Amino acid sequence: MDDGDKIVRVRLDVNGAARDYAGPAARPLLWFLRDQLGLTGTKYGCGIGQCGACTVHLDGAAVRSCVVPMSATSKRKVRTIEGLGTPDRPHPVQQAWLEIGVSECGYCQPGQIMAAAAALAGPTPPPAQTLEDIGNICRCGTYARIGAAIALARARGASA
Amino acid sequence: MKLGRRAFVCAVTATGIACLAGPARVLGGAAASTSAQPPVNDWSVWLVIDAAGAITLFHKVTDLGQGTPSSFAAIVAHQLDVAPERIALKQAPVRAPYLGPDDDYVTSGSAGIRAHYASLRQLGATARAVLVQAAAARWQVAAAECAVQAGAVVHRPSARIARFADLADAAARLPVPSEVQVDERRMPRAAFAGRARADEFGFLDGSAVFGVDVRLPNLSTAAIVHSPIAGGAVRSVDATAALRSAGVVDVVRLDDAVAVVASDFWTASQALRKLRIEWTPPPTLPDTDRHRQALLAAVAAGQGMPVRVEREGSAAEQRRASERVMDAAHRRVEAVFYVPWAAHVTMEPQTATAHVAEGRAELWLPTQSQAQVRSTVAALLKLPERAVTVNTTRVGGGFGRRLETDVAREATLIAQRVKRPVKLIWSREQDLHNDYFRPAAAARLRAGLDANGDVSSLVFDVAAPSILASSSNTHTLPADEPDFTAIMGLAGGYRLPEPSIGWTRVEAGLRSGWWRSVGCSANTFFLESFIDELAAVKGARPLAYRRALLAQDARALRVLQALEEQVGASAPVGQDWFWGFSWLRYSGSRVAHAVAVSREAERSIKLRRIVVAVDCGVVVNPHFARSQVVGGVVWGLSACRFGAIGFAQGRPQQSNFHDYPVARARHVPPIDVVFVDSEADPGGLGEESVPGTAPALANAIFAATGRRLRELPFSSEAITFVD
Repeated sequence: MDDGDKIVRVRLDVNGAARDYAGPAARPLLWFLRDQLGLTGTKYGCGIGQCGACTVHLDGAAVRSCVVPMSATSKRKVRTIEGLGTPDRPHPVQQAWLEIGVSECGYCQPGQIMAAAAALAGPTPPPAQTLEDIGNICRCGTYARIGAAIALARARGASA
Repeated sequence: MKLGRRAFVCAVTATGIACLAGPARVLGGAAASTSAQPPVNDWSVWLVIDAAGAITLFHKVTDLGQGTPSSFAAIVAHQLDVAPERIALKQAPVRAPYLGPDDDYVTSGSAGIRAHYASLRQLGATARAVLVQAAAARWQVAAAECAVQAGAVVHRPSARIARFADLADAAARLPVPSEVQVDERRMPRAAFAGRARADEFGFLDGSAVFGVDVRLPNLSTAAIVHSPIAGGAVRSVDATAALRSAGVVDVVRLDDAVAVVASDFWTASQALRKLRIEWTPPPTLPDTDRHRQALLAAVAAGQGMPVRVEREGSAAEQRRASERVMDAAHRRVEAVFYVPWAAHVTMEPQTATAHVAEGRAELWLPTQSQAQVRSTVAALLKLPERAVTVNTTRVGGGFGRRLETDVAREATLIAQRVKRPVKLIWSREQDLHNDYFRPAAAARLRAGLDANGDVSSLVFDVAAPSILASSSNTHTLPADEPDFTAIMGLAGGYRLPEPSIGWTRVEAGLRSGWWRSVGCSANTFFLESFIDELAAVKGARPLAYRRALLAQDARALRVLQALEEQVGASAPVGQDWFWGFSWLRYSGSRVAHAVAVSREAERSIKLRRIVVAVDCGVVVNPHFARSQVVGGVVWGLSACRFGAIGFAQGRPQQSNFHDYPVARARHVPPIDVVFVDSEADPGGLGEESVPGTAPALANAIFAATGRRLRELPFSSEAITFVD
């Protein structure tokens, strides 16, 4: 039995609800969210923390959930795109995304939005230039509109 | 024609207009319905207005992010004078009547609006005409006194109003007029932005269902590994350890791959690593360095299959004539170019879900090629096509990759074996290694010049693999003609002697396919770099040189004018920027690029600005149109900076985004897009801004450094970028 098969029991908070996990310690948070909780808004893009499609908040910080093992999630608070806002009550970042019309294929956008929301909610928001490059990949090339949406949300004082 | 009591459909096809009794199953109430798609051989239902007033438009284009279906709705809505969001969109089922025996159902070639604009206007105008007639008949007034307005027909003299909902049933009983008047007024240029797509928020809260998100009862997930040597086959599999893993359902051996079916993707992926597989390598191991040498040797030899042009004589005679003029030229200019193998790396890796049971198959997948998926699966299972149902999910990037049917084929075989629904997901590594790549290509471009520096003869030799022969999307490579994808874009549209083009097919043992802008991604780099070299030899300014060669094309001149004006507006005063340019006519659109760089150090530049001027005819939705142009430029920048996959002794040399990088936000300068005001029929937009990006950047680098970069991606020895 290799390390990947080591079994752990973990209780964590996902979008405000307690969730229990029992299974391989090495299972990435991404696949727990997607395949066990059915929270498929968090996307698989590379599996090595490169592209950012799987970005979620872990205790408020943006992390790439494909490289966060379940063993590291005990007692922690996870927020996914499903927990960010709704069509009726969108998060300010989602609202800005909607107004700018950022999405093309849309696959990377939950990760982009989670990264942007975490950056804007930080105690000391980074300078505008850093904010406009949150570093996630988009093959459709929506970067300029992502930057514009972040700037819009920032101008409105988005946090939360 | 006698009309039944039940709802019926009216259809406009390429060959005529008719009404006939139609399938009530499609219709909630009555319908005004016409065909808005390529010639259909079956009577079809495309636009449905039900008794509650709901309007639904069926479409056969996949929304890959380009928003084409929403633009379809806007075109029809304009004719009906309703708000575009009033029209609900439905992906047409992949079957009759939406798909006849000889129809395609494909999203490719930047054809969405280009191919359907006229028929969609006709569709909307036809619906309007029968609604007006129905109202006029009810009120016993002249149809000419009635008009549509905001989802109703109004009779102005008497101020009577009838909603579409109340007219739909009667309208559907009327014969379709043989001629309808299309509303030629310009479409409103209102900002559609994020609300152009009714389900936009699904991309923002994670509820949109992509291929990887499909959920079904009793669904298993498969991970797969293909031969680590491209083109290899499975010789033996020891699945003992994998099958012992908790959660594993089965291991399925295919010809060239092995899949593990499990409760979930991670479990399947972990078990995949426990397989002991022996592979049989192909007779010749793909090697991209060796292939590059073969391509360069082929263009040096210049013995390729000649392309016949519209000129007297056989292709061979034309070649000899061009060579004679070349020999007699005052001066000759020659340049050799190369582009590498490049991958699509769509953000959503390849995926398909299949269920095979009781003589039927059903698939759920992100695809650009629904009809082909259906026929492929039917042939594979020896089922009639009507026994195969294809459901289109949201698509996490297409770019041509999802024209291929390989993943649907694999998912079907796996599902057939395990007798339960299976979702197959490729890892990113599998996605990168088993792509239908943009094939590498080389070119040797030669020009003979007269004493004035004007071109007297052009001879272009290109070498590349055949996409037509390789793609799983049905195409055939003609025996006696070059693969059109290998030579597309080389003619250029300039007032120059017709080039004598020869193509040599040089295969590498790798799969090649349709990659946003296909052969133009190579050939426009070659041609527009070469044009720049010819301008320099003549001592002409690059833009002025092109303008002189496009004097016969008024639309081209307007595009270049718009480009130059925007360059003036975009360049800050006092900045020492160097500009490079390119020009392209492609799929009915005309596109010019200007790229600005600044010199930061010896062989070091910073990308400052990109300007693109476009005449794509009528712009239906400015937001989507601009997005396509910008996205194409970003795609092109990835190819300039990074995009190259190598195979050494059959083994891929890159595996994921860490060593196969693509452009990120920091690599992309501000991009200004200018649409020339045009009422011409729509041209393509999805691919048209890709090809000009690389040559314009190469030409800017020449302007800044005096160095000609004739290979993609630009090597770090030749130039470094300050990001």
